[in-house]
Amino acid sequence: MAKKDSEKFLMDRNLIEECEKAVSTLIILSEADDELKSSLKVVKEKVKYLVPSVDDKIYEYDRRIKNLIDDMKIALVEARGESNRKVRSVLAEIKVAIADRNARI
Amino acid sequence: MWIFKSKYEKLTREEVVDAICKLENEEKTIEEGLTSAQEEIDELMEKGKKEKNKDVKLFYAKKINAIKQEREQNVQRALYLMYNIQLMNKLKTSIDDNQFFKTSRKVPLNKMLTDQKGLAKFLNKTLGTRTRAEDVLTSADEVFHTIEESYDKNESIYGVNEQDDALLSMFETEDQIKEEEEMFSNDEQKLSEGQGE
Repeated sequence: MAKKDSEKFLMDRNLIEECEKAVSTLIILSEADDELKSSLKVVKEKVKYLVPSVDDKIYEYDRRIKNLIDDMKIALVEARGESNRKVRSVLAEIKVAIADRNARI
Repeated sequence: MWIFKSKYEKLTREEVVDAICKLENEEKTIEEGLTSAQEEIDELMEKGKKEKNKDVKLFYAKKINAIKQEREQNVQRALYLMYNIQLMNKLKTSIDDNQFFKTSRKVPLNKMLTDQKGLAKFLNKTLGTRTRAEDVLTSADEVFHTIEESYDKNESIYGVNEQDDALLSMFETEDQIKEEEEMFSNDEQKLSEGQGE
């Protein structure tokens, strides 16, 4: 059954909120590394002001951003909160995904 | 259609990620414990070597063995956790694959490919267009060929008349004489060389 636009908008908005909360967790996990922490604060601001959309493609972009944030959580736990190659690589992917998403909207 | 989802279908990626993070934390804690256990063992070994009293030495020895035993158990736990983490990562990848293939199927061009009859019709039409275009070229080539074959060479311009024939005979005769002269001079040379030996 096709979703109404209002339902889609709500779903995307909730997903964006989840992304923001997930980035807050990453900031806490990266307490040991000041540079990483400040980069994540910038990412948090960008995520916070993502505009919800009824477009399915935009929703897929947001889902991808959320998945990358979760992958970064795993990488940070493995690295004990420090910025290793894997952490930096995933952070770069998150930034690209956000920029891609904003370019599409 | 079955309305109840299986437990795997209800499972979210976030739950799997949280489980992985929890397991990673436990594994890292055990790893740190192993490092500090090894340091303790090294310290006690040094003390044991320096100690002169046998009872105290025995005490150190038993303590070292107890730490080693505990360390062995922790290694087993760490290995179990590592294996568990691997399986969780596989589960996460499966969830990602499921999402990926669901999304790819929705791409409009991919949806078009499900219409196999329409695709066959389109491909046949394309093939027909190509065949017709090729036929045009081959027909044009045949026309060229037919016209060229029907053409008769103009003998007045390209043919050999009586005067031309006479000259051609003279040319051939001169060529023959030259060849005979060359053969004769070669034979003479060979003869003179043979006599000289």
